[in-house]
Amino acid sequence: MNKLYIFVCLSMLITACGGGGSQSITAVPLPPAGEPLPVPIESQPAVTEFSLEESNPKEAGDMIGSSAKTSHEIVVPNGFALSSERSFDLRITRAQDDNEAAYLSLCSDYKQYNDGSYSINYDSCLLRTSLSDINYEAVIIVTNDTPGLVAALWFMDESKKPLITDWRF
Amino acid sequence: MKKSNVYVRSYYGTNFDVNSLSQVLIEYKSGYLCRSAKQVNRFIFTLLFSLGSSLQVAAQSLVDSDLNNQSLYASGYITAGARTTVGGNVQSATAVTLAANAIVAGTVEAGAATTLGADAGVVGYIEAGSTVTLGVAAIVNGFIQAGTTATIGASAVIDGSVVTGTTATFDALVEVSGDVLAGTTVTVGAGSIFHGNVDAGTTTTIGAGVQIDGILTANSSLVPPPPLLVTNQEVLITSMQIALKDLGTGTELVSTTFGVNNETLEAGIYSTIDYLTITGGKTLTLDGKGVDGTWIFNIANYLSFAIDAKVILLNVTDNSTIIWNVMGDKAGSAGYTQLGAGAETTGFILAKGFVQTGANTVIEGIANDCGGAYSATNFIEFGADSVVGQTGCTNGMAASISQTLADAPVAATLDFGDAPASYASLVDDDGARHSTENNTIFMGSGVDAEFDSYQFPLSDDVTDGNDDEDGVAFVTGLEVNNAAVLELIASTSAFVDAWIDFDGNGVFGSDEKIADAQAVIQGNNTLFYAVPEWAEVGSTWARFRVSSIGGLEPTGSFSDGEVEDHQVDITELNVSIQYYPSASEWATIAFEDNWPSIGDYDFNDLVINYRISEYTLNGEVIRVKLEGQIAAVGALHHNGFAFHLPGILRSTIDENAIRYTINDLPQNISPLEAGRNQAIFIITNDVWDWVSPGENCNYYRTEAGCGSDIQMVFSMTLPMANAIPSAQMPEFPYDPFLFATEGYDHSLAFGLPPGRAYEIHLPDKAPTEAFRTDFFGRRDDRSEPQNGRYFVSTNGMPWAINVGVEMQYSLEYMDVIYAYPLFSSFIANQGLVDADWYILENANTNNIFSN
Repeated sequence: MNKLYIFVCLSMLITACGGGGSQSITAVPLPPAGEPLPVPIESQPAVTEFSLEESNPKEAGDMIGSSAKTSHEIVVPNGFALSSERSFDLRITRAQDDNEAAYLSLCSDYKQYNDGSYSINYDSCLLRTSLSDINYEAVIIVTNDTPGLVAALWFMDESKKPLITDWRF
Repeated sequence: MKKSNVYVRSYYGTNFDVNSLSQVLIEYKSGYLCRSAKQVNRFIFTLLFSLGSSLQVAAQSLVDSDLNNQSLYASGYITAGARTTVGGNVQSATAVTLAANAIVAGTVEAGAATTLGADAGVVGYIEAGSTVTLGVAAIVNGFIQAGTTATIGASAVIDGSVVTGTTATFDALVEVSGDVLAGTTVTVGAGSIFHGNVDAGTTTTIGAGVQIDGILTANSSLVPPPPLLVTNQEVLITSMQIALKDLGTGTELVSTTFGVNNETLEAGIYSTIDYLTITGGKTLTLDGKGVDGTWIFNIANYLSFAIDAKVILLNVTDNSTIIWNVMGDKAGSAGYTQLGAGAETTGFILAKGFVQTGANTVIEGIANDCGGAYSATNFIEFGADSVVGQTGCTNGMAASISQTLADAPVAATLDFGDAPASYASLVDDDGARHSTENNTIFMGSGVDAEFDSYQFPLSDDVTDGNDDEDGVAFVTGLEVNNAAVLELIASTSAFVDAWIDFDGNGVFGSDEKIADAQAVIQGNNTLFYAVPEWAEVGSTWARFRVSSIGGLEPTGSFSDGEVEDHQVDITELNVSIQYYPSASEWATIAFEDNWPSIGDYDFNDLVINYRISEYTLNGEVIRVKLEGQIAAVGALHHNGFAFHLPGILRSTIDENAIRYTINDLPQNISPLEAGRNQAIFIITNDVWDWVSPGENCNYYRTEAGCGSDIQMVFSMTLPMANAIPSAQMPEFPYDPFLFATEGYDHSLAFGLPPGRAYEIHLPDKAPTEAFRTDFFGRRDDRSEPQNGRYFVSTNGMPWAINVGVEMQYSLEYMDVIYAYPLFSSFIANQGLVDADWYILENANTNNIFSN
C-alpha cells in the first residue's frame, strides 16, 4: 500500500507541474533538515515494463559427460536434489497510461505469429491475477520443460488493447 | 562396388527362373497372347477399363488394380536421388530414373524408359515400354524387358534374362545369368559373361574374351514380346481420393495455425479447407493409444513438411493406417506434396499432383508396410539419401487404403457440448447440438462430430484425441462482482449465444446469459461481460453456441455452428492464483518404494500425476487446491500417498470447509491427518484400495499389455482458517510423499510392518512428525538430518523423482536411464544440461509404458 500511496502522490506532482503523459519523474522535494530521507521514489516508465529473471541462476560450467550405464552407477553431485524447476522473479511496472484495472496471465503455451500477434492457451497459465497497483512482483516456479513464458495484461477498458510480451528460455 | 553389393541381392528370395522365361517366350511365339497370369489380369483390366471407365471407377478397388503392390506410382516420371532406397515396387506411366547407388527393393515398371545410375540396383525385375539403361556396375536381380533397347553399363550384373524389342548392348565385363533375346542386334563388350542363350533377330557382335554358356544365335526365330503397357491410373486414384474424402470432414485443421508448433493427434479423420503444413523442425505426433487406428488427412490444397519436420508415432499398433489424401480440389490447387530436406513422415500419400522431396527425407510405412506415394497426374521426385519404406518391407498401400474404405464406419454428423447432465448435453435431454454437415461456422480451429455427448467427466476431446473446445479463451479470471474479458475465435462472421452458470445451480438461467445473438467476425473477437455479485465462488460451467442466426437457447439442435462447454473457476475479487505446473497440466512424482534399500530404479512403484493451485488475497494464501490421479502402481507393497505443507500447522486449515472428491464423488472422511500438529493431507492410506491390475497383470499400468484407464482421480480444496502470509508458504511442489499402509510388511529392514512411521520423500525433503527418525541410515539410506540431507543413497540417488509434466514412466523393471537416456547427464551436470530430460521427446519410447 505504501507504494500505491507514493505513486498517487507522484501522480499529483506530475499534474501540478503540468507534466504527465509518459514522462518519467525522478526528482522529489528535499525533506526538511533533520528528518530521515524518504524511501526513494521509483520513476513510472513511459511504457509498461515486464521483467522476468531467474532468481538464482547457476553458472554453466564445462559439460560433464556421464559414463553411467545404469542408475546404480550414477553418482549425484553433493547438494544436487534433482530439482526439476527453477524460480523466477516477475516484475511489472505499469506506465501511467496503463494504470487502470487490469488482469495479468502468465502462461507457458503460446505461439507468436509473424505479424507479432500472439495466440495464448490460457489453460497453461502459471499465474492469474488482478492488477490494481502500479508495481507487481511475484516469484514464479517454472518447471524445466517450459520453453518460454508469455505475459498478457488485459484491461477492463474496452478501448485498450492487451499488452503482451514473452520470454524464451 | 558391384560385387560387394550383397545388400541388393539379399532382398530377393527367388531369382527369376531362366528356364521358365524361355518357356514363356516359346509359348508366346506359338500364339499365346500373354506371358503370365499377371499380364492376363492386366490385359483384362485394360480391356474392361476401355469399355467404360466410370463403371470401373465404381467397381474397381485398388487391390484389384495394377496399383496393387505398388509402393510408388506416378502418372508422370519417377526419379530417385543418389543413394535413395525404395522398399517396395515402383511404377510410372512414363519414365523411372534411379541416380547412382539408388536402390529399389521391389520391381520397376515404366511406361517408357528406365534408367539406373552407376551402382544403382533393382531387386526385382525391370519392365520398360521403351529403353532400359543401366549405369556402370548397376545390379538387377530380376529380368529386364525393354520395349526397344537395353544398354547395359560396364560391370553391371543381371541375375535374370534380358529381352529387348530392338537392340541389347552390353559394355565390358557385364554378367547375365539368364537368356538374352533382342529383336535385332546384340552387342557384347569384352570380358562379359552370359550363362544362358544369346538370341538376336539379325546381328550379334561379340567382344574379346566373352563367355557364353548357352547358344549364341544370330537371325534367331524367337520374337520378343510387345512393349509393356502401364496403365495411367489417374481415374482410379482420383476415385479413391474422393471415396476417402467422402468418409467425412472429421476434424477441421486450420491451415494457418496447425503445424506451427509441435502437435499431437489421435486417430481419426482430419481435413483442411486449404493446405496442411508442418513447420520446419516441428513434430506431428500421432498417438495411437496402443489400439488399431486410422488417420486420414483430407487436404484440399497441398501437403508440405518443411525442413526437418517430422511425424512421430506414439503407441501406434502394427495394424494402424495413415493416409495423406492430398485432394487438390481447392480452386486452382495443384494438389502437390513436398517434403523439405530431412523431413520424415509415415504412411501413404495419395496426391493429385506431384510428390517431391529434398535430400534425406523419409516416408516410412507402419511396421513392415512400405510407405508409399501415388501421384494421380504428375511426377514423383526423391532427393538424395532418402528412404521410402524400410528394408524388407512388404507393400500395403493399395490394400490398406481399400481396407480403410471397407472398414469405415458411418460418420457422426453432430457436435455436442460435454457439460454435466444437469446442463442438458445428451440427445435424450435435447442437449445443445449442431450439424457438422457442410458446416463452415465454428469456434477455434475446428469442430468435430459425435453420435452423442461425452458428458463430463468424459469429454469428446479426450475420446477422439481432438480438442475442438478451443474457440474460447478466458483471458481474465472470473471474479465476483468484477468485469471480465474473453476472446472468441470465429471461423467466419456469425452470432454467439453464451451462458455462465454463475450461481452454480447446474443450469444455465436466463439471467446468466452473457452474450445474446452477439455478432462476431472472422478471427479474434473480444467480449466484455460482468460477473455478478451473486456469483458463487468455485468451479462452474459456461456454454458457447455459435450459429448463422443467433438467439439460440442453451439446449436444442441447430443446422450449423458449434457448441463449446467450458469449465471455469469463479474466485473472490482480487484473488491471485498460482499454479504448479500450470492450470491444466500435470506434474509427476514417481517413487521407488524399496527404501531404505536400493531398488531397480524403474521409478514406477507409485506414480502420481498432480497439480497445485494456490489462491492468494492481499498477500495471503487463503486456499489451496490439490488435484491428481494415480498413474501407476508397479509394486506389490501397500503404500499410501499424502501431501505435507512444510511449516504450516494443522490448525491453520479450515478442516470443516475442506472439499474432497475421489472420482468426482465427495468423500466423508477428512483428508487432514488427525493427531498431528503439521498440516498433512492423506490422499489415500492404500493406493491398492483404488486401483487394480489388468487381467493377467501383476501391477497397475506398468507392464506391456497391461493398460487401463485411470482408476482414481482426486481433487481437494483446502481453505485456510487463518490466511497464510505468502512468504511463509512452502515452495511448489510442497512436500508430496509416500508412506506405508498400516499392517502390511514393507522391508526386512524394519521387522514389523512400519506403517505410518515409514515415509519416502523427495531428496532433501524432511519427513513429517509421523516418521521414525531411527529408520534413517538403515540399509542403503544415507540421510544426514543434521545437514538437511534426506532420502538419498550412498551415491546420492533418491527414492523419488519429481518432474513438471505428465511423465511417460518406465516399463516395469526398466531402469529409468533406459527410458530417458539423458537422466544421467542431467544429474552429472547438476541440472544445467538436459534439464528437460523427462519430456517425451527425450524418451526411448520402446522402454516407456504405453497405455
